[in-house]
Amino acid sequence: MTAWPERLRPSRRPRIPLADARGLAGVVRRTSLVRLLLAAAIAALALGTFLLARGLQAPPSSYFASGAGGIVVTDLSSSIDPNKYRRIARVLKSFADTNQPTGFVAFSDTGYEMMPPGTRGDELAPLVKFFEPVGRSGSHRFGTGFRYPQNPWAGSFRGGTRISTGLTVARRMIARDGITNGTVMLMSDLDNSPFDNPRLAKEINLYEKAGIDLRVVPLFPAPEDRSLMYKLLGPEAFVANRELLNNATLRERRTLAGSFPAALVLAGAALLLLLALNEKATARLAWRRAVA
Amino acid sequence: MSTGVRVLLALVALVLAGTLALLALDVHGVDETFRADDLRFQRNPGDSALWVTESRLPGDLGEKMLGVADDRQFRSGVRFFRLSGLRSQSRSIDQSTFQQAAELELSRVDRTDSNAWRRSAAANLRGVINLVEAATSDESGQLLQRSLSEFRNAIRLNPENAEAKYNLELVLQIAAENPPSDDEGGGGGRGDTPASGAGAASSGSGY
Repeated sequence: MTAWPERLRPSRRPRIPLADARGLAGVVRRTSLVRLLLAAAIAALALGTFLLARGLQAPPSSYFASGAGGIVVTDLSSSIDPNKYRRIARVLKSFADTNQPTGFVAFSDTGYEMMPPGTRGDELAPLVKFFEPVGRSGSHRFGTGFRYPQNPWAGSFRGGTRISTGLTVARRMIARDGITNGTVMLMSDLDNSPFDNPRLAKEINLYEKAGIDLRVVPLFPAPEDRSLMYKLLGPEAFVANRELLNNATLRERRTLAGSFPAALVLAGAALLLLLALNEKATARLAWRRAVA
Repeated sequence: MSTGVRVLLALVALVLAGTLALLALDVHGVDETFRADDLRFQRNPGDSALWVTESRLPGDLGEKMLGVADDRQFRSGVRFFRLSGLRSQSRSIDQSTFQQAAELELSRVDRTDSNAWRRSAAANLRGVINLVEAATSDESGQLLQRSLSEFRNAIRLNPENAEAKYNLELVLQIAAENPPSDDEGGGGGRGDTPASGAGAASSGSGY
C-alpha cells in the first residue's frame, strides 16, 4: 500500500488529480512551516496587542500618573499672595472640571486633612472661589488690588511655612487608607522655614522608602527656595508650566490626558501586516469557474 | 551608483562622523569633569556646582552612555555627609539639613545603585549618621541597632570595607557598655551577625 505523506493524504475536497503528487512533498512541507510560523506570530502579536490595549491608562489629568488619584497638599501660609492664588485656582479647577478623585491637605505651620483620598474632584469646586478675585480694591497694580472672598482659614491657618507638616499628613493618609503607588502633589512657594528643612529632607526620604511619588507645583518660588527642592527631589519632580496649561484646558478640549499609545499602534500595524502577508503568501489557490 | 547618491552618502557619513566626534568629546569631558571635581571637592565641599558636565550633544548622550547618574548620586551623598559636620559639638540648622539630605541620597544609593562597593560605602556612612544621632536622641537604643544593621550590611556588601568593620566593632563595644534597658527592647546583638562578616576576621576583639 502506498504511504502518503501526511499533508498529501487524499481528502474529500475537490482536487486536481496529479500523477506526481509526491514530488510536491517538499513544497507542501515548506508551505506548512510558513503557515505555522505566521500563525504563531499572528497569535503572539494579537495577544501582545490585547495586553497593550488592556494596560492603557488614561487619567483625567496628567498630575497623577496612575490615574487612580492622589493627594493635593496646598500651602496656605502667609507668604502665599494673590499672584499665587491664580495658579492654585487653576490647578484646583482642573481637578474639579475633570472630576479626578483626590484628597486635599492644607498646611501652614501645621497640616490639616480637609478631604480624604478618593474624594470626587468636583468637591474641590467650592474651594476654588476662595482663590479667585471678586473685584478690585483701591490699588490697580498687576497682581495686587484684587479683593478675595473671606476664606475659612484666614484667621487660624496663616502662619509660617513648614512643608514637612503637610507632607507628613498626606503620607499618613496614604498609609491609613492602604493606597499603593500613591502620588502627592505639593503646591507651595517653597519658602520653607529653615528650621523645617531637616524635617523636610527626612520626610522626602520617608516618601521614597514608602514608594510615594512626590510632585511639586511651584508657586513662583524665589531661586534660593527652589534650589533646595531641586537638590532634594531633582528637576523631574517639578510640574512644568506647559503641563499646568494643558491640564487647565482639559475641559475645553474634552479630552483625556494620556500619552500617544505608540507601542499599541505599532503592534496593531504589525498585526495587520502579518495578516496581509499571510493572505498573500499562503492562501489556497482559487479560480473562477469557466464561463459556459 | 550615481554621483548624486554618492554625494548624499558622503554627506550622511560626514554628519555621522561629526556627531561621533562630538560624542567622543562629551564622553571625554564627563571623565575629565569628574576627575577634576573630585579634587575640587577635597578642597571645597561646599561648592554646589560639582560634577556638573556640559554636553555638546542634546540629551546628555555622553553621560547616559557612561551611566554616571549613580556615581554623581553617591558623590552627592558623600558631599552632604561631609557638609553635615557630624563631629561638631554644636551644629547649625543647615548642617542638620545636610545630614538629612545625606541620608536621603545615601538611601537612594542603596535602592538604585548596582555597584556593591558604593552601596557598602553608603551603608557605612548611614551607620555613622545613626551612631552620631544615637548620642543625642531619646531613641538611642533603636538608633544603635540601626547603625549596627547598616555596618553589617556594609560588610556583607563589601567584606574588604575596613572602615565598616572598625565601626561595627566600635558600636558593639558601645552597645556592650550600655546594655538596652527593659523598656527599650533588645534584639540584634551577636545572634544575627552574618558569618561572613567582620566576625570572621582574625584581628579585633570579636563581634
